[in-house]
Amino acid sequence: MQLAQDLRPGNIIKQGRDLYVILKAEYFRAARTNAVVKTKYKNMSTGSVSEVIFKLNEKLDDVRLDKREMQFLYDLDGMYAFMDQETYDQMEIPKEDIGDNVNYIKEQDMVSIVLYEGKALSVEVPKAVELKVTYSETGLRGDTSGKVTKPATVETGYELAVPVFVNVDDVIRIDTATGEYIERVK
Amino acid sequence: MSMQLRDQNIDIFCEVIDNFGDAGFSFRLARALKQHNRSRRIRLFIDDIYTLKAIAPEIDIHSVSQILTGIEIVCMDSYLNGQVQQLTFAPLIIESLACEIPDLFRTQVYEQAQLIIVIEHLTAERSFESMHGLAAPTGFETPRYVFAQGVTSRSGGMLIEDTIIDIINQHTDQSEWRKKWLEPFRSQLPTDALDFKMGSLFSYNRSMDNLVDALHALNENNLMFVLGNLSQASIKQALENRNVDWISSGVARLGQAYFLFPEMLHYNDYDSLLFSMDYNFVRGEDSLARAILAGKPFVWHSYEQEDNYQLVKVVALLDVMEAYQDCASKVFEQYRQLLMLYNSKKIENNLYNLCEYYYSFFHDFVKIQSWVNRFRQDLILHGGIVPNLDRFIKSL
Repeated sequence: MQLAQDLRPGNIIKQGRDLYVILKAEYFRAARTNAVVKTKYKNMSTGSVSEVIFKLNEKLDDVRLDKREMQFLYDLDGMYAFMDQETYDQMEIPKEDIGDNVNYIKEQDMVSIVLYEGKALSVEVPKAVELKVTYSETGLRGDTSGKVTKPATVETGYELAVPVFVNVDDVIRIDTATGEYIERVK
Repeated sequence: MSMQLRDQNIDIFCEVIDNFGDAGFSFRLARALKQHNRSRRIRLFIDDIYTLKAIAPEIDIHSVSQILTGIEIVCMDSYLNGQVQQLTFAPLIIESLACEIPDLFRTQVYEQAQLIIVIEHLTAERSFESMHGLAAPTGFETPRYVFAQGVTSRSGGMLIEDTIIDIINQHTDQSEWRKKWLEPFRSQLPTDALDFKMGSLFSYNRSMDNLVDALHALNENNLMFVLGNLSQASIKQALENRNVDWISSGVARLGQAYFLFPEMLHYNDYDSLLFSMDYNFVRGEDSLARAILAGKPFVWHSYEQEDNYQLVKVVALLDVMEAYQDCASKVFEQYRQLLMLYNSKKIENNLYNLCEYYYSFFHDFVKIQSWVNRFRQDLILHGGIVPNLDRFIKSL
């Protein structure tokens, strides 16, 4: 059994007879006793996308999946192409099925491709990724607390809030579960 | 496409985590659903009958199933495996305050139900409003949806019973209620006590030194009904170090301030108490809803959570309420500060001096009451949980 608290974009879950790919997962602290995860997921049979809520301790049916390490090659008109570095097999996955994980992968990155019965369904990324800042307003000198933030864009085009001391060309670590800045790497 | 339920009956499940809010809310929800449609059978499955008895003394704790004001109360703890299998559950199941249905019941309930509604705790947080109406699937085929209580039209609203609307519309004579509350203490109070400024206090454990001092310094006759064990213990602790005249075990006087310690109130009485006071200090989500509906200035004590998370809930409420205040922004800022400090963690309670903010609260009654009333009016216009739930189910 998989617990809902472990859900991340790219995960595949089974509901009834259908498989769903998680496109987005947001965690909310609920009332006194429980927290919930609000997810956007896509039904792999019908293609319909919906938002649903799971309690964090909700047990989800296991799905027999295979995973394969592949390199992200390019994005062509919304189709993300990946290649197995040993066999040179290539696979494509629609950008929409990759969900929020598109924010964390750039060309040449190695990622984990999730397969079901030989078909590529989604992409899983590490819990944290390192990406270069490509745009940000100049910050204030002297503020090293990290409490004051400003918007920044990283090399994948993803925008997030970073501390004011972060500058263009800095590499930052990002939490892929929350999409939030963790730390400056260099 | 409208969902067709096989009948109008509803089974509500309630898990008592602690205190009285879970049982109180669930029972009032059951009663409101019954008032809305008297021909339907409403059952309340509760895991802790003792807590319900504390607010409804007529409950028989030895009875597995009993009827109270038309609601069938079922004590889940009395059931054994074989007995549950003999039950037939309603097509509509409500998981009150996002409770867990016990394993013994869960499979059978989920298989027999046509629709499951998860009613979440009341909160003004936008993130929770965004969950309102979303599916909350389980491994079962029965559809299950989140119904988020809230204080804006983006949510499912609050529990507003018809009896509350009647009180508001009929402008019930509140002096009669005040007489009723004072009656048990009449011989221990001045003859003009009915004209005193009156308030109620229902809180979790916290330091009450500043509140006692603020009431003492009000410079006018006032009295406070201190309700529940935790509030009573907190106030008594604050009174210990002061020059208090204990008129009886249930009445203490500090200058012009009187502190009254009544027995636990019956669930029917709490609303009329809140309506008849000049101000109310309340705790938890259920009492918050009732304090808003009472339309009197109130101070909310949110249930303490890890990392001071209760402050997030307080800020969310204040942010909604701010839209209802008029030009007296300084008054609102004082009020905001009071609620923030009042809800800081127990360990921090003594670090702040709240006297100034209490004083502002007691001094600016009229202004605070005007925005609380506008807030209440909007909530009533938006509709309570019961009609909104009806509409939601019809929309499925």
